Amino acid sequence: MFLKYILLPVLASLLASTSAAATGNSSYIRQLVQRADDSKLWQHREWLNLGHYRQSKIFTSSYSSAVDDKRFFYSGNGETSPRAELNATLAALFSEQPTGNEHALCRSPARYDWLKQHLQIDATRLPKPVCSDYIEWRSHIHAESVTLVFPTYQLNSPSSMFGHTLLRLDPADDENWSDWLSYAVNFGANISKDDNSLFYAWKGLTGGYPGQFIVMPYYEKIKEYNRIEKRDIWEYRLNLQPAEVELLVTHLWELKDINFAYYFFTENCSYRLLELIEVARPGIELTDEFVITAIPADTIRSVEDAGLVESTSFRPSQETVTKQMIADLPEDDYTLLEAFLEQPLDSQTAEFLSLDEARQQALLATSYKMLRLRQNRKPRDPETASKSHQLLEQLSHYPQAPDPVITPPVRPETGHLSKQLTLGALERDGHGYSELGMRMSYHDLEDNEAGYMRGAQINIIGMVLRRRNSTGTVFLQSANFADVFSLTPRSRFFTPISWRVRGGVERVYSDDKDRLVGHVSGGGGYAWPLLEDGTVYSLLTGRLEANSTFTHKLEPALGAAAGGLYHSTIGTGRTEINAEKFTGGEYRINFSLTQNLLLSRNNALQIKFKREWHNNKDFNEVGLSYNFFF
Amino acid sequence: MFNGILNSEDHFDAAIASIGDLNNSHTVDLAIGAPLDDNGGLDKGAVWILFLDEPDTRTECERDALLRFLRIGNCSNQHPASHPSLRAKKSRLLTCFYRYMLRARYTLASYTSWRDKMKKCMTGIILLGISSTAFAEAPGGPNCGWGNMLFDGTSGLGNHMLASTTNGTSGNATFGMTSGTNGCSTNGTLTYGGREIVMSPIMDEFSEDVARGHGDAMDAVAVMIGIEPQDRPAFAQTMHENFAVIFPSEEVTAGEAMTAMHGIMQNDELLVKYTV
Repeated sequence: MFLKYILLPVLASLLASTSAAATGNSSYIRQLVQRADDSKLWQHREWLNLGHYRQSKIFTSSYSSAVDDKRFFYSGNGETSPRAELNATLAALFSEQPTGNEHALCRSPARYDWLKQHLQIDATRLPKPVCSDYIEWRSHIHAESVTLVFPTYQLNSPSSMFGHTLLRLDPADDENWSDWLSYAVNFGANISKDDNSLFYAWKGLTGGYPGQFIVMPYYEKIKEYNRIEKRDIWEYRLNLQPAEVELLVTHLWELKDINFAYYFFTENCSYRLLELIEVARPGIELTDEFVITAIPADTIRSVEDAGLVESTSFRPSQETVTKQMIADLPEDDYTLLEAFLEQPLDSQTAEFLSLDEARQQALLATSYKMLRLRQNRKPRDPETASKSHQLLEQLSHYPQAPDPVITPPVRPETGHLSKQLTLGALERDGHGYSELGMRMSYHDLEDNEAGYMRGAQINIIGMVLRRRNSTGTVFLQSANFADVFSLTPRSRFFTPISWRVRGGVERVYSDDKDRLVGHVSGGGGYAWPLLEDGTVYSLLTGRLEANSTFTHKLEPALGAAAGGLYHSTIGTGRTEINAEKFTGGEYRINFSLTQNLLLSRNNALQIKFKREWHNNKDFNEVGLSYNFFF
Repeated sequence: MFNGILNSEDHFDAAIASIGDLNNSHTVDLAIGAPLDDNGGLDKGAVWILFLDEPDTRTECERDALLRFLRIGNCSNQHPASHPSLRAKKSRLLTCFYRYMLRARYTLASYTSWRDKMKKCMTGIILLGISSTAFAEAPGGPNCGWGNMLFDGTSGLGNHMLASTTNGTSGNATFGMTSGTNGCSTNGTLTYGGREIVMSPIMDEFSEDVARGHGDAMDAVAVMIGIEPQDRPAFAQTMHENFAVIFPSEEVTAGEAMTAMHGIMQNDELLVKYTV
């Protein structure tokens, strides 16, 4: 009985698919396949883009798709064979099964459009499934133009330091619209909630997570970046034409719920978005140069170089806005602002009432902003909620509040490029050396600050080779895995922590000579502004070092560091003194002075003086290097 | 005049009726039922009579609460049952009766002009005694994401480290599709004359814009409601002037705010056309 019920519908559907109408089509499909094969349609750039195929650089006849999901392909070996996939797609388009939303015509509108155009498919022979899901989705997506969105760095979250990119689909200019309501297209990992945080990070870096495209209202992204993560957002409106946008949107639908492998450094958000743009405008090549890393700012550059950017706009974060509002207040009002923040709200004080209306309004507005900023990332707290409400209520009695005027910073893509090459000459303890350094990314505190966040150092993967001039021996001076320094000055209203962490191998003077040691070093402390363009800082530091001369192979050290940074038009100068002592008794004290001299956007000279004090020896190091970014 | 205690368990406003001009003040007065009022004994119930012509005997706050109440409730061309959250109005009214909220804008003059307007609306008896359970499944019910309070926290957004290495989401994967029935979707959408209004997720931003008188969130809400570009400034200004009506307390929910906005627009010559 049971079998009969199951078998009958299956048999019925098999019979249906071999009915007369379908057999009529099968010769037509063969004809189409023949035509496609003859013209080598599957080798077409556009077809390869639609399937996210990459041609192997070595075996040029070998292809593989970045899509990591069987559901995307109609052919069993579609992942590696664009040709088989094309043929299977043709068959699926004409198949009567499955019906409705699962039919190839509903699932793959972009592929269909493309094949139809290139093979002159007779649409009257196709089945007519009702694509209700697709139709409903399209009714939500108003897309006439595309904007590339770049939420910039956020230093206090190391992994987002390079920024992120996403796309926004906007309707026609004349539509009554607000870009808050536009849809954002985001590529990100699909995460299981059970994973713990360290595991996340590791999997994120190594490709352990599947990535997916997600479409959501843009206000969610504004909230996420502008408000919660305090990141400024740059928006680059692209000059994609409506037809190109249409192609992008139809292809996006094909990627719904489809998994890609996600790699933090390479096949990340930025990379996948570039692929989407390549689909929209066939013929442009955006992804080829990102074999090793796809840093969001670089992808913006590549989009700009391809002539795709029409206009740019800046959406400051809540923190940027609040800081500007505080800066706009007369300093006399800071005490009142503090009182509003720290004490129960009382706006009926004589002091407050004596201010003119504009100042009262600015104080209320700034207090509110500040209060919300402090409440960020925290659960609802009835007291703050009540105070926030009171502030808004009082603010509402004033006329429309003016927006603070925020001058957008230098656009990130106009900053120096991401990779760096260094050539240097130095004298250390009386010996001459020459030096060759290479860094994959990204920015040193001393480097040209235009387009970068002041006080943010992010260096991932760098190596320095040195040659001792007298003997001609070449040796590894250092290899860094990561070197991050977040220097955020404190002020009356903002009290961030500054910190740094780096790890790798480096050559340091120890016992009797320079030795290669492995280490993880870090520190935390405070920084304060000094004049307009300076910062001073002091940190408590720690270091764990693997050193063959130590009694224990791995020894910790404790220390302190203090320094200053000064930005000027000729380049950034930096000085630091740091001292540390290991548990085994070895101590190191370094004092350094560095001055960067800007030659152009991507070229700089750097002069460095350093003095080192050790248990048995003190000496100097003086050097000059040339830094080139590419 | 107003002596007695009301609390939220009294079911104040279970029914409201215009009872004509009781005290010859040329203004209708109101009877408001509170079936579980405790003043005459536990859950004995009471009818409160509100004389609309004696502003001096009521605090400004009471007048104001009443004003909101009637704007939302009575002067509506919709059946009361279509109002998503009557309970909200009740709590708002109570809040205002019991809390000092100085609102300089509602001077006696504007109160009087409002009263004149209201006279036209108050023909006959309007019953608002809808049991709150009737709204459980209605658009804007608690399952529709309307429950979002003002200044809800942002900490529930998942592990930050994770979110930033992967730029991922850990919620239900979405593709910009709304789903659900009864005009409400899983992401806190409600419908307004067939349009989708997403208020909950941007309520903090919107309330700030209303207080400031303009802003992106204000524009977004205006677009969702369908306000034409040329009417957006007027919409913003009207919302700005009525901040305390839309957001009477920090406990207000998105649904309540929306209902209040609807009431305000219905009483606005320019905006009434958007109240479908």
